Amino acid sequence: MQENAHSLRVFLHSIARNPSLVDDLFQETMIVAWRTIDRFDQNRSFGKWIRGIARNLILSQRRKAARDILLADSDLISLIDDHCESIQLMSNDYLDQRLARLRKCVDSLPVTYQQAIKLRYQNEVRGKRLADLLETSWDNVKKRLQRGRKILYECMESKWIEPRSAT
Amino acid sequence: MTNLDALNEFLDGDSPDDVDLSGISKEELARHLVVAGVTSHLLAESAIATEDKVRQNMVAVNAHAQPSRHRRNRVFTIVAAAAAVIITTLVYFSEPPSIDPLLERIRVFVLDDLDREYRVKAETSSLGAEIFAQSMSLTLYVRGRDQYVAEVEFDLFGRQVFSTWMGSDGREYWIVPPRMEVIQLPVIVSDKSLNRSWKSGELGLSQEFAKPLLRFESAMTVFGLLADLTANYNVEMVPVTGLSSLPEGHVEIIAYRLPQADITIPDAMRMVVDEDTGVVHRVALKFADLPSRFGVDNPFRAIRYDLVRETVGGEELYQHESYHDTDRDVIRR
Repeated sequence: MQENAHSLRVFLHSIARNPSLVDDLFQETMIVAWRTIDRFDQNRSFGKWIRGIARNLILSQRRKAARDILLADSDLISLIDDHCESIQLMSNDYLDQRLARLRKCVDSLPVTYQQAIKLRYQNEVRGKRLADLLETSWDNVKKRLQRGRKILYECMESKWIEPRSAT
Repeated sequence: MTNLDALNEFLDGDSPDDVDLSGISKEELARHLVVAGVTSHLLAESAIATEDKVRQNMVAVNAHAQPSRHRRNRVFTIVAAAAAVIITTLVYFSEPPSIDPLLERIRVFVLDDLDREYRVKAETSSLGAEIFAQSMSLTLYVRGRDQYVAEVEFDLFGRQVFSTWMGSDGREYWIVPPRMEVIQLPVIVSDKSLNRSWKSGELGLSQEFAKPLLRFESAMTVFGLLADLTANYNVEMVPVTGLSSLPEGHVEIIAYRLPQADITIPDAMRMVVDEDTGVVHRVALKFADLPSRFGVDNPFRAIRYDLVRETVGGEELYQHESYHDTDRDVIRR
């Protein structure tokens, strides 16, 4: 269940711009899951089932929370769901162990990239304000974030498939 | 603007809605959004801070979810206790004492001016639902004939705790759904029963969660339970067995639903009562496992209330204003 709670939050963070909306959707998804758990077919992926609930909520909320949802496009959400599913299936160990390793990826980023990534994703600062805080141009910040994400992505890919014994 | 610029502007810029993403494939966009999603999740301060709490919570949930020797033991204990009660009743109470004086003492107890806090435990109708229900705690405050507040707390794997309150001040019924940041849910107030006072979807999915509780609105007050007990049940009184936490002088009222009564109300009810004072220490309700054609959709198999404390509080304990900020929308029905 914890594994799926993490995966659900990754899914929601991929789609919702606002962390408060992630919390709201997480909360609502878990309530629905609680009320409908008996309808879950145990031969299917639990993670996919619970993300399916979240997906329906996102699509039903797209008008109310349009400003806070990045793209409420059904095909795109399906692709994101597939990514989340493959992330869960990629390795034998648990997602939270992998996430712990991924934190090391963030810690090993060059300092300038790390600052930009942390301000952007931990403190939810974006755009020109981020540039002001880092005392550099917005174009420069975009490059740092892009390169930081690229390094993180490569690091993540290697960590997803790292065997358990290597933790 | 190149595709890469557009993507960066969309992911990190001030106005992502204005960015033209038509040159970027959905596959590529999805991949970048997931990397950003994983990064956000990783760095979300609260996720990091609560990781240990999540783990502890899951240990507790997993422990409960183990196939259940405890459950079998519990069932055995209940069966054994029930058998003991039946035998005791048959042997010692061929001429059962009248229960009416005790019911009258309970009425006096219920109608005094004290606030009583009951811790409520629900046993759900499936193991799956029970795993979720482990994250839920329910406290009931009651006073007199019709004042109550049911406070439901739901702890989502240590990540988030949210509360819903349902209650009545004796004049109006109300429900305060959880405070959320983006999806704003209104407070509903009604001078009638709450059970049908909201429109579909109005309270978000919290209403799914409130619905089964409000289905048995009479069970929200001891007075309501007592009224049900006398109207719809066959009632017996037996000595209390197996409750060492209580001093002597307590009896148990065991009630079975009359054949002609509504089959959706609890099948059986048990009350542990101080024989002298009428103080109700414990109430246990057991529901029949009804086929879905009855349309009951009750996730609870059993509900138990345990008296925690008696206090003298103010009227505001039962007023909805005590449970939400003044800027919340309040809808009256």
